[in-house]
Amino acid sequence: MNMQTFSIIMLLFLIGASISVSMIKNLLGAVIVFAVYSLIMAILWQQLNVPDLAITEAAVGAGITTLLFVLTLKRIRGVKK
Amino acid sequence: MKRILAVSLTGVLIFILLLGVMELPRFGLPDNPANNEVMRYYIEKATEDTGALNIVTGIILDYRAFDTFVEASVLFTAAAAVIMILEQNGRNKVDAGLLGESLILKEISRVIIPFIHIFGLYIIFFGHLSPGGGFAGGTIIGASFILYYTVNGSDRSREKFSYNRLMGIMSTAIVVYGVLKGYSFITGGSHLESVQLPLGVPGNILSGGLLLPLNIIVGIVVAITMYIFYVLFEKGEI
Amino acid sequence: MDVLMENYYEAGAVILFGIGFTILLLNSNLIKKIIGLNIMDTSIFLFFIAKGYITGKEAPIITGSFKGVESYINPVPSALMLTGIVVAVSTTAFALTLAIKVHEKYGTVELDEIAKMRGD
Repeated sequence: MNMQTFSIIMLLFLIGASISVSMIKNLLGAVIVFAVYSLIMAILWQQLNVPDLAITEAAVGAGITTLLFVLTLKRIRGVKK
Repeated sequence: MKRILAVSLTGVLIFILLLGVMELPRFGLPDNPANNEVMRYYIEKATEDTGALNIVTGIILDYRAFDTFVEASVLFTAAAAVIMILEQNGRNKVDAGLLGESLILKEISRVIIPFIHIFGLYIIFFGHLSPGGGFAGGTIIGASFILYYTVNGSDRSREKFSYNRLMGIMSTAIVVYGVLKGYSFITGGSHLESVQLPLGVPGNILSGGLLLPLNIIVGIVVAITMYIFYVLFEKGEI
Repeated sequence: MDVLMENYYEAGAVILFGIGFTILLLNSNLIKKIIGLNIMDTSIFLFFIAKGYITGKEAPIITGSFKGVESYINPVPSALMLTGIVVAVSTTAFALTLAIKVHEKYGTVELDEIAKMRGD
């Protein structure tokens, strides 16, 4: 498989992941799918020959943003009425 | 009903935007309108003017250094806004973290955290020679601060990372960046020069004039901001 | 139609923008709206970076000797979008802070129930 087919498969995976974020009812599942979306985006940056953005997106998108979402979920659901 | 309406609205939006995509020039041709003489100037003269081997770092820290200064101040503003909104002094009980519960985590983290620091410092220091730069390295060092907080609890972390010390370091860093690169608004007409470090030989670490100090400053701001985000989301006070 | 198959990065970025916009409109949960906002952000970065790619050339880092002007990709869009990624994470963090405050005041994060509570 050459690199063009690989990029098209990754793009289709991205579109599938973002459609399923809307359909999953469980909030924790949606956040985990969002972390996968961020990682596939980091692979696409490497395919476009920009390594600076790939490192930054992998560290910031799949690291810090997912962590903040999980912390927010803990504070939202942990306090009972 | 609302669902069908929203999906059809999206379909119309995507169809109109795809009509626009059909008018774009082909992907990846060398004579696109986006690849004009600005690109050629940047690629040819980046090493002579700035001394950096990574052209992207040379652009964001020398030719367009003021954009990076404003972006670092956006990070500082976000951290300040989160502190203002989420700070609750004294309403949470102090916790000792995992101190009494897990000896394995404490010992392993004491061994691993220096290695994480070395990796983050490597990415920051070699920002002008290889991919990386201040943002990715700063995030990695911030992650090591978060690991220290998780394992050791909040009262031991408050001794090392107190509020006054973190805010002092971050504010000093941003002010130093602004003075180093914003001087030309005041002195441009009089041709007064600011601090100019020598360009050196491209390929050494200590080359490129002000690139290395500015990378370190951006790394410090990003690391402290990531630590502040985590602590305020978790606990409510620093 | 074959223009879309050749500019597949731009077409994919536009479709992702539309899907993110739908997620923002369709769900009434605040957390999913924030996820949709972030998806819209990253799709715009993908569109911009795809404009700067030239087939067959390499990344803009000079290793060894300088190979001449004609053998590197366009470095200008990637330098501009590096700022954008950091601003996107700042916006997401601030939006999550406001979501926590909304939950403290109303007890729920669904916008339908909040509208009922306020009596609109």
